[in-house]
Amino acid sequence: MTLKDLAATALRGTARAELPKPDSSPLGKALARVQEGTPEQLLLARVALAGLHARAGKALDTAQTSPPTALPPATNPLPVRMRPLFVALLQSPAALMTLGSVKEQGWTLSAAQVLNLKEFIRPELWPLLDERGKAILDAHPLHEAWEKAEAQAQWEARLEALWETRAADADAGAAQTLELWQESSVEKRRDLLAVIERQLLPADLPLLKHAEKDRSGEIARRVRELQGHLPGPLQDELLALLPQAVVKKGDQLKFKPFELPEALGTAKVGVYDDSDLHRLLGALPFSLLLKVLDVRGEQLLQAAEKKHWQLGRQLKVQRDRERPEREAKASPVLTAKDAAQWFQSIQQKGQHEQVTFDLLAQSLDPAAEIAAPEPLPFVLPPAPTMPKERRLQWEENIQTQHAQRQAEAEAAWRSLTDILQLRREWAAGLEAEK
Amino acid sequence: MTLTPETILALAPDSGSAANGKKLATPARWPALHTAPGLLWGEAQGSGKNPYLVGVDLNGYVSKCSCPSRKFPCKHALALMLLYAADAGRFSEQAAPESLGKWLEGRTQRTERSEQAGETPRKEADPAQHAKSWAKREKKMSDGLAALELWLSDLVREGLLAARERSYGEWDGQAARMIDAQLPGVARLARQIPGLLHGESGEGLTAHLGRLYLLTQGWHHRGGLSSGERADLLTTLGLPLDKSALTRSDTDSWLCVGIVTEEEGHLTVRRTWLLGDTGEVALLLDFSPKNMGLGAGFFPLQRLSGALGYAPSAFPQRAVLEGALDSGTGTLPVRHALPLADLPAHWARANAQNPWLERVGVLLGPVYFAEGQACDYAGQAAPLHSAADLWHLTAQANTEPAYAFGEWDGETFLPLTVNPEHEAPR
Repeated sequence: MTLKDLAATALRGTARAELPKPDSSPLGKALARVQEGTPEQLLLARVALAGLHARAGKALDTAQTSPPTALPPATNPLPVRMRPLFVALLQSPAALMTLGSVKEQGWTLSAAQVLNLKEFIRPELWPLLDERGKAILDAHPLHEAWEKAEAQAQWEARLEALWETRAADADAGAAQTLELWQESSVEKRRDLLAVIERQLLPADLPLLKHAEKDRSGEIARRVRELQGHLPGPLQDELLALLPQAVVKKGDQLKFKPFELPEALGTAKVGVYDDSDLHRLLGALPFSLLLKVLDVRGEQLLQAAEKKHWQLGRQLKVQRDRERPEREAKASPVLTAKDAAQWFQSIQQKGQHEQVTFDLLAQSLDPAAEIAAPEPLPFVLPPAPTMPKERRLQWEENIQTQHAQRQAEAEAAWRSLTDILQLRREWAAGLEAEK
Repeated sequence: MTLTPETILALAPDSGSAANGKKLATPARWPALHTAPGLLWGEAQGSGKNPYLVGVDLNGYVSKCSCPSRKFPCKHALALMLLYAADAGRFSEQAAPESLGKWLEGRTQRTERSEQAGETPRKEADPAQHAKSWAKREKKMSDGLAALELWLSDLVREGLLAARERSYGEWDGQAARMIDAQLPGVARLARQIPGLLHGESGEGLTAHLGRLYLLTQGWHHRGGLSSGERADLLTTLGLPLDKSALTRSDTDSWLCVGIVTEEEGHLTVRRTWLLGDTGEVALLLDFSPKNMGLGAGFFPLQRLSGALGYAPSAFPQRAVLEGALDSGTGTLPVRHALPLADLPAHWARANAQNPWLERVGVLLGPVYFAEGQACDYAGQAAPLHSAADLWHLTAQANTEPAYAFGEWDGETFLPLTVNPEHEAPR
């Protein structure tokens, strides 16, 4: 007789079922000694004992997994004095530079230290884990996130190298692009197409032909359009068609019906970013459109946007693509003066861009003295026309807004100086650890 | 209590208040931040025109706020304390507004009155009056438990399959009758029945009803129980802890080894486990209504010194700690660890002494953690509680054999504090 047997009787009810007879097991013998009055009392008393026996007598399970492999302890862990600074800096715009600094020192983190960062865990922490940490967190999402980030960084480096090859040697570059295209996923083919669109070479024509039947409809359409960007019969045909499709009447541009050449495929009906007009205009360089139509860029963009907002956007993208790449400027050296100007913009206009804050926090000299912004005096601006009864409320709102802006500027100053203080302490800690 | 972000957030009545408190802890939202003798106070800008007036009594960290929240401490009070902990220099000295001043004065007077009351010897309760009150309560309890026994008999006569068709209101009604009979512990057990009704084999429900029946029989035969057994029976029935009956522990030196906070009906319950220098385990229980904070607690591996008294029990575990002083931090003492293989016998002994025991606190080791299990190096394993975070457990063990203090309820182990072998002193 077990608890299971007693439960079976309880489920049916003593009015319908006999109580099971105790067996000769130790539990059975103990249950047999329980004698109560009514069948219900007997059942409940035996259940009480059997339940206690089940609860108190549960045996242990068998381990399903072997013990972890013992690994040696970390040889160069992040020094104890640096840990609170590290955690604080990781939550600030100076996170990446701090991680770089830890990497340079060869310091490592344990799995527990990384997990305790909670919402501040990021893929860049993975390479800083010690050997034990990597073993423990091997299946953790952090590892996968790191591998994805690494793979993306390597891919971007490959695209960068491809760009340089294409610039140096068009034929070799085009051949390499085609080879890479053939082994790439659809996401990577989109990235390659972006490179080709910015740096189209006549030698790319074989790739464009190859990709006309790409499984991605979007890629297939873009490569067809790109063929029109290369001098040749298709471009000639499109240029001849253009004045028929886009008619200039004084300052106005009108879009007229036309027959889209087969080479550009068939526009999808009902799709917001596809039409015959989208394809025709997309299949010619922006500069060439302006030349043939004899219009200014803004004029064409406005007319396109008026026709359909997405057509205007498409042409803007085409225009921007043809603009020469701006030389990557070295990040400006920011000073306390830049910080002061930023505080002032908060005080005056309430403009508190996180991007500017991050840049200041990362690039200001940590030893720089940053003066606290003095609250600006309140000046009531000229009131707009409004009923008298609303005037008082408006004045109160303006005053509240002014006070809030002064408080926000002061808060921004405190946040910035806090981060600079942390960076100073970090630098001092690095010195002390040498 | 020292004001740190951890101790402040521990005061929060729920995680939502803690999160909102953190968000509000930016100086930009506080047009005024001040201190006055024994008080932190400030003005928190909300969405309305007028900011909220917030005050925190530094003696006990009780708060007052003009916001409409019914939670204590509210998010504004938490934010005020967080700002102070981050940078006390932001707060300038300034006398509190009249409303806060009066509130603080009232609190001070009430505290002084209760201290004076504590110093004044309590009038001895009139034994005859006490006996009369107890007799009245006993009668109610006897009648309630007799009715419960009848109800249980009816259930198993009719069959538990039929009981599944009953509405929730019926079970709730039975719980309400137990409250009327001054048996809140039984009411709590009755409220657990609906959750067990639809188990396939019916074993869980049947065993639970058996426990309820055991209570009725325990009450019948209470005269034959030892004092500890009787105390356990009365505790399970729901009588409050009798602080005059505490047994002083020999040791004054304790290590906080785990904290669990849970919702239980309308209450929030905090279980704080302590391990004494001589290996004894003690459980502190704190209760508060759901929207109110539990008050300052301890943190894991905090060393404490103070007088601890165990509540009467056949298996002493629940305790009260008086005058706890912070003595720094420590690590789990390996010398008091129980091998995992001995856990079933330990639990069986505990249940033999107190059959209504819900859980024991136990230091186990050496163990390692794997999916759903805490394992020893001999191939045995205890199931892990669903709330156990395996990533954190394995990270804390750091590939070494580990020592873990946690709660064992006969089914699953919930590790609360883990130390790898090299950190745990022998």
